Amino acid sequence: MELYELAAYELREKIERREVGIEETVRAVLGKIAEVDGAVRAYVTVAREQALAKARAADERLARGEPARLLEGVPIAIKDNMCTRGVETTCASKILKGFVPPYDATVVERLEGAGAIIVGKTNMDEFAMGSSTENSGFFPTRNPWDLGHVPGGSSGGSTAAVAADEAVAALGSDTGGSVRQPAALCGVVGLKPTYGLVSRYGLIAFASSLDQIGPITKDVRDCAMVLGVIAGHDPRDSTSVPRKPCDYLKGLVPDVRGVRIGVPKEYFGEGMAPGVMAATGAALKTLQDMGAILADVSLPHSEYALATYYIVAPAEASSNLARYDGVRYGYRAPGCPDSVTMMTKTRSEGFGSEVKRRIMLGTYTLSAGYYEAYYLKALKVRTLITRDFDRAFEKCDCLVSPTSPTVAFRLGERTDDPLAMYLSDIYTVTANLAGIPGISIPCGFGEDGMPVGLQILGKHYDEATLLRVAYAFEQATDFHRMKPALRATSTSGSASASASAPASASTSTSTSPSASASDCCGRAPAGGERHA
Amino acid sequence: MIPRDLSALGPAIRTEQRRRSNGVTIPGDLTWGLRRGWDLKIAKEDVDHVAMLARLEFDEAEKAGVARQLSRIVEYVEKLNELDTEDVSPTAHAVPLRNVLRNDEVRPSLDPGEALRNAPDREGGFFRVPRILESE
Repeated sequence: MELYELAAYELREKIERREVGIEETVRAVLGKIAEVDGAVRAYVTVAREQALAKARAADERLARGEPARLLEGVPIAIKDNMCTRGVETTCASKILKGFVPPYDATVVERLEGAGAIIVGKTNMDEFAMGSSTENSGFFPTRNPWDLGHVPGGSSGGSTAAVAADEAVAALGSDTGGSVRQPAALCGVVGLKPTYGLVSRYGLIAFASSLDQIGPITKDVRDCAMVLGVIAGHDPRDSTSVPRKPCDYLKGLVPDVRGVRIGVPKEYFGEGMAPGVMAATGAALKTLQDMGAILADVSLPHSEYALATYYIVAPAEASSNLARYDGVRYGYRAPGCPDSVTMMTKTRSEGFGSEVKRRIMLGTYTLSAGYYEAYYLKALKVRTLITRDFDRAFEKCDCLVSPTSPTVAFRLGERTDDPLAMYLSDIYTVTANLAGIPGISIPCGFGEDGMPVGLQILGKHYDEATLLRVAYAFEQATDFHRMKPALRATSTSGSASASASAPASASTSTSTSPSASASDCCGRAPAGGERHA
Repeated sequence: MIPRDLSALGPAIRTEQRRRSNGVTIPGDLTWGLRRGWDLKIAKEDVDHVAMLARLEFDEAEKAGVARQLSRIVEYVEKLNELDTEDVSPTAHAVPLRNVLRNDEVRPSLDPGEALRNAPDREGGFFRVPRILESE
């Protein structure tokens, strides 16, 4: 078995026992990136030299007899919306191209403090707005299971990197499903922690009341391990919750006997692809056979969640993205006679169309005369959605549903219709609105042989139960051990899609897609922002 | 393969088409319809106004697209009007938040040189911008 194929905990053991060196490990992963990323395009930036320098320093550290830390030598990828000191951070936006943060996000500090080696920054939908990574300002990322399909989004670069063994683990951010949905579509594990559990300091803000950073890993044990490292109070994020640290690894017992699992009927309605339905149904049966108690529950306001989300998130985004004005960092439109013109041109040239659409929508719903009709209304419905969960959790320990209603769709299939794209998130946005944790784990394969994810939702701060159920399921199945073929097939189950998919997507396996990172910048846009 | 909520979307789209085909505006609800006679929830003039507030600009062709897409999204989110929320308090944050204060102590902060390093234009210790005030 190649080093890059190992899970983080396996790799760390080998490193601790000095069976392999850290530089050797990092070189193996960098080699894999060189081999496959021309086709997958998971990375915006590969931090090769920094990673190798840190690996050598870590090897020397161990050679001096210092103990191996929790993630010693584990090569990790970071979504490009988290600040990395000295490494370009773009949010996959032309408006931030060239921005080199002068500080590290708290999660980056914590990972490096635990010995992890950051190998690069991954592609995403621009400013995390999207569900397919096609909204990247630079180029789309491909799904390693079929290069003609999207990896999901917005953390599609991170999930594709882990699925293709281009990183042993990764971080993503989840505002409406952006960790869980791409994890499901790429067949890896992705967790959105409870709001406030992981610091957002240094995460470039999209919708501050919904954003959470979470681990993307090959299996549940790794997920628990990475979560343990990044979770915890941070005084630099005022929404970070002061809580005692929890040992998530300790709770990983392969036993779900007596665990009450709620099955929300609203999450199994029409619109779910048959393959997703079948895989999810089989997973529920597996859990039941293992001794879990299934119970029907109702979350009656679920059908209003997506509408609520698409008021709340753009409203917060329109405010957060006001900082990109061409003054302190980032791109500035050249040759403008006055500041207002400069700001307007900078933003219009620097932002992509989905970002502009959401800024417009948010500005509209917050503008005079509409605030109450839209924004305030949505905040009230958010209360109703949260109450639904409170009631459901009186009767059960966690809830189980599919992560996304369909498997990964083909590139281009939904780009013309923003609403069709938004519907990818119908089962995931509720957790962000209510602030509860959710995990997606591989549970089978559906249409076109593409992976299906099982979503488990839990009570606030009850990541331990999610991880336990996920771990037990994983121990009883081997979906997480399946590896993608890294090629494109031309046999597609959805006929309508093939017309809009780029020709190169269905034919090329080794050539790079045409879009290029360099097409965005003769100038030096930049800028990023810290969170408070 | 059509997700569930698309069915909720259907009527909204059909309503919009019906309005256009008749060439008459049939207001979907009073809050909205009374304001002006539009074919779309959001007209091109609204796009101009909102774009100005957001410091964005669109060319004429883009404006029509923006108006159409925003109208569809707004019609969709108006689904929330089905719910009576008269006695419901709003949730701005999922986790109860109180003011988070720290002691008023001087601590190290970002070096000015570092802070200015990413600026598109600077002069001395300042960010430099084009003219802000109109000249006489």
